[in-house]
Amino acid sequence: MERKSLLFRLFWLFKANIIISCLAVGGGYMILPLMKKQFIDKAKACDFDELLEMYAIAQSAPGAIAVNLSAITGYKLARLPGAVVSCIAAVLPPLLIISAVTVCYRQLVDNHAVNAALKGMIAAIAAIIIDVVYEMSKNVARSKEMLGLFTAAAVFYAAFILNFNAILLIIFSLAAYAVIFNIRNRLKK
Amino acid sequence: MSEKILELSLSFLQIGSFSIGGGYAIISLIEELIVNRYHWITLKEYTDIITISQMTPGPLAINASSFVGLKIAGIFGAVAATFCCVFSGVVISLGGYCFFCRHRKSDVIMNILQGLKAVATGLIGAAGAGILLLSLTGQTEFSVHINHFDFYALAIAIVSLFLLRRFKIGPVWLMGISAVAGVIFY
Repeated sequence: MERKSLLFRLFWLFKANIIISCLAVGGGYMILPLMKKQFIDKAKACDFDELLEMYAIAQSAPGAIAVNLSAITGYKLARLPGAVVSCIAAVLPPLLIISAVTVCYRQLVDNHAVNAALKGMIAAIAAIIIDVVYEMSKNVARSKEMLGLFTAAAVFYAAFILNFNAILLIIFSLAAYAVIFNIRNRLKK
Repeated sequence: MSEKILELSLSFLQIGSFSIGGGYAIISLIEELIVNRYHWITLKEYTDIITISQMTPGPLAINASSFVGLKIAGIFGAVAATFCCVFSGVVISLGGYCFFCRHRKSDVIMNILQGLKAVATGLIGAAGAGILLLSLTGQTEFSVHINHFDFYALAIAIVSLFLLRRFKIGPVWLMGISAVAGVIFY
């Protein structure tokens, strides 16, 4: 991908981000499996480990994870022009759809078929996210450290069962990581 | 008019800068600013936006900024609000990415990134579990008491997972198929 011309890359980024953005129903968490499909399975632009790194950064910055991740992947493929094009392509579909939907949203919200289709889609979205979490866990476990898997499990428990705030979890886990890393370094010496 | 756009831009810049973690963590922050302080939309309209957000693609913050911007100052308002909403997040993300790329050799930095990946796994896992819970029981929060269990949703989720892992089916197809299945079942 990186050998192709700049114009080709920008065009591809625009197309890929429009597709991803149109499919990202159900919040920013859908973005990772969709990005994986476009960037890794189709374009082979990076590997899953790199994508996870980019996702981890996008998640730790403020704002919508989906748009942040689009900016980072765009930057990786085509520097600043890539980031700008990707961001525009990422916000365009929701902007247009919301503008259109505000005119007739009452009918949409009350429509039985729309609600039924949505229920089916939410079940599939759950499956898509579970699938990507499995891949992520494999990646985290691969570094042969129990710490990664333990952190993931602890964050899962705190976020799902205890309803902890995401930003608190990010800060707390990083602090815990730093302390453990330091202690281990000292023990090695 | 331009005054309103400026006010809109500043508010959404604030929303975009202080919402970390994405998704539902920011619902109350947006409500505080656009419903309680500026009275741009009513609480009823805001809950409608949340409902619409669940049915249409795109992050809640983007949907809210488009909706409010459009209502207050037309299409320019929508574009300005959306732009301001994503601006600081994108700048900080790119800065963070460049920073990590430059310090790839540092042990400490790579450890931080490793930690962030583990946190991301946990958070996405929790989101996935939450969506599964919503889909199966209609509840949004975890509790031992379950009033209602949806076996159709369970069937769709299991078949979807099977198609994903066994046949590597694309998300476009899967969403289409499950929407049709939803219309048939419910």
